[in-house]
Amino acid sequence: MARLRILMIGTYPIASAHHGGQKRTRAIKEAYEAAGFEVRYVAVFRRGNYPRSGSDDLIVTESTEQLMDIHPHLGDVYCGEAIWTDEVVRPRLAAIIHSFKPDAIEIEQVYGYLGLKPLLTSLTMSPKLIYSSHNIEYAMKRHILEQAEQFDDEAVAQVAAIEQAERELAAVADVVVAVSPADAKTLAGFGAKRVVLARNGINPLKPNPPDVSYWQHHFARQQVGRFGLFVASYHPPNWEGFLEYVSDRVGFVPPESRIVIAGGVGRYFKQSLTQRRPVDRTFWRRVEAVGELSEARLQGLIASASAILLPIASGGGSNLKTAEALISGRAVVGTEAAFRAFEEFASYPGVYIAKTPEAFRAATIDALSVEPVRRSIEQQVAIEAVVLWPACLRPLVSALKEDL
Amino acid sequence: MTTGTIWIDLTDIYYWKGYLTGIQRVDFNISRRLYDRGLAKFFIYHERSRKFVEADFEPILQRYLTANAPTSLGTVARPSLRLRTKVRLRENYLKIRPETRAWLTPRVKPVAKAVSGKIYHTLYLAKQMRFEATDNSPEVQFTSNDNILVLGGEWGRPNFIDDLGRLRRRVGFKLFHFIHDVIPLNAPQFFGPGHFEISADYFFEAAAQCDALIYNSKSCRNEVEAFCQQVGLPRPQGGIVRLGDETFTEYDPSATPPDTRLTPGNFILCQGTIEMRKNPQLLYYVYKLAHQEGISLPMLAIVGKPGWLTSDVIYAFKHDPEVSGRVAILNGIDDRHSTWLFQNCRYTLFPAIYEGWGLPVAEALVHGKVCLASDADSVQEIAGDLLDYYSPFDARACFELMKRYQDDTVLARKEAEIKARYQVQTWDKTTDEVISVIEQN
Repeated sequence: MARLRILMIGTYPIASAHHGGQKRTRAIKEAYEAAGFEVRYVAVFRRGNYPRSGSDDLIVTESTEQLMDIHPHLGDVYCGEAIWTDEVVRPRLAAIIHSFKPDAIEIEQVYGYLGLKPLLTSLTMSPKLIYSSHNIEYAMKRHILEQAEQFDDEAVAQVAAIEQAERELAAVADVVVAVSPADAKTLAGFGAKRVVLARNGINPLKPNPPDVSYWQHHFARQQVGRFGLFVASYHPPNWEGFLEYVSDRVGFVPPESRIVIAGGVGRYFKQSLTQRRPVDRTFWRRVEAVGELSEARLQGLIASASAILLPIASGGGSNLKTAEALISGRAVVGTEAAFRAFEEFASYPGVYIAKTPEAFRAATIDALSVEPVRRSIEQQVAIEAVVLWPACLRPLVSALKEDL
Repeated sequence: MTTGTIWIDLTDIYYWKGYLTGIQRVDFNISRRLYDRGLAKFFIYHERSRKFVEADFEPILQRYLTANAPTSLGTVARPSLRLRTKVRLRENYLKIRPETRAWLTPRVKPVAKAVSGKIYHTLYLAKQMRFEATDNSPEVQFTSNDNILVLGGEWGRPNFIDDLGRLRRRVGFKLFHFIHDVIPLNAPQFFGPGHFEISADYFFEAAAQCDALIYNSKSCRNEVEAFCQQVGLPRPQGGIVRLGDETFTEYDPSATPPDTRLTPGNFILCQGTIEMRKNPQLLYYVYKLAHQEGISLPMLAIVGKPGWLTSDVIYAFKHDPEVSGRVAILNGIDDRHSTWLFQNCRYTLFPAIYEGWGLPVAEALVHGKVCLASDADSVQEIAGDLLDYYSPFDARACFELMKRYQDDTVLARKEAEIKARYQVQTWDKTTDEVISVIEQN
């Protein structure tokens, strides 16, 4: 029996996976490979945005970069459109499709469909389509643009285009992948024929002793005892959630404790808290932003933390961060939105679900003052059975084997 | 009475050079009362080794009771190296031909300033290290029954409050901190670069790590509470004490004036560090207005150490032909001369834009003198409706009040009212109030 050939298309490389979308896409690719499928992944992306890329990845040209400079929050839209409009990207992707002859093309998030649709028409090809949704994108994109005060005519038009593409792709795709029951319902409402629920998962944490020791020395030098860790990318909902639930008024954090911010989101706070106001200064008395870290360093940091903070205010997808937090064995302080799809662990030791910002801060203080969390082996196994990628993606692999 | 020892931090006053000014006077007077009553022990903080060591108050007491030009106990008692170097450099600089100097000055001065700042700082650290290395005082063994009281300004020592807070969490003693003002947080424009940052860090940790704060005024407490709310700290425990304003230096009628231009009853006194926040610029405008209207105001004696950001206004006072003859700027005034100035002035002025308390206002009242003061919040707490106030931004209003007090009858009536109504606060009473805050918390 011939191996199933799947071409995956996205708007970010996955050679080095940092943000949630990258991690999910990479896990899907690995799950397909483990199932014996032949898989290639093509990212259409901007030079300089990602440090590492794969051999099939395609860099957009200057004309696309110019659009992205005007509307940075629409970068993924322009990358998706570049599949058709970019004079360099289009022929190269066409060549890959011709040579690989995929049985199915999987579109990671909707953006690639914007350019792929006319390209497939021009190639007179109609492979099976898999719509791998990570979110209901148009709603989130609209929110981001409004928050950034960039909801101009171009943004309005693009959000409308994203919504139309999401609805159309959901309706025409042979398989639609949703990350949460709520998204599955929405996608079914768009006319999806076959919706597979594949929650976000994670890889098991394997911190290296040198990385753990690095952070232990780092905090010992500052005489910091315990810290709560917030890991997030440079993405507006991330800092909005932090500001809503933790806030920039961090006097509630005990003097010997810290909140540590890892990932691109720290850049936002460094850029925005610069005025000569007490709050701008005192924020850094209790918060440390350690920047973007390698996976190894991040795992060392997670292993050194007393609590993982999940101040997630909005977003439709299920959360990789929640899964990572749960499996880390640390205390977890999260919002109700953060624990969507993980409600079954609400009563586990060291799990705090806060309904309000006040409750979130109180839970953070508590998590930083109590003894380290002790979960039973059964509880840890139960978490792993739900949050590790193989378990999360099993329904998807099975569906493809059955349907394609 | 409190149980447990009261340990007072003397670090600030230990390293202080020159005459005691506002914060250090409070530090000295409360420490002295607690020392006299045998209620306190003392310590200083070794910044290099980050240790708290026992200290003796007696040398400080003797220094400030007897010395005319006190020097820091933590440093060598002779003109500072900085001063000696400056004098020597200046002597040699003046030997250079004027035209060469004119070319050289703008090129060399900024570099020289930066380099000398770094050298001075390094020497200061070296001196401090030498002192700490030779100070064999034992490290303090605080206990959980102790009450630690910080009265001075320690914000220049970045690890002080963190180290004390850490010790507090480990040992379990009670930590009390006197807050004189939080002006750098609300008005950073009145201070040099970096002051806002160190102040914000320090007050944040003080409010976060102390069991209670002691304030010198309601407005100071309100500002600290507003700050805590802004930065997410809980409302601190604490209480307000009224600062002492009694005078200890006997008036010596035979004393000579500190400046020959000042004659009894014919000058107005404005005392306090000369800095933008204290608003000497308003007085400059007042004297300009007086000149414009042809009104002869009495001689103005501005008495204080030159502080932040006032070189321009001092220059204007000294070089404006319409004003310079009417103003004497004095500094390095000892207590005896200070008493002479208060006793012999016609009245005093206090135009501060922003104050923590406003000790010169209280001192004027203790001497039975009128003070025409700005309406800054804490200043009004000192005298209530006993004085006439003006906006610190309204030179015309200040000028009109001064014109009114040109009239001897108006002045005498107000002085009589002050003598009848103003109640002197003794430092003993202030100390009782401090003890009371400690006991209540």
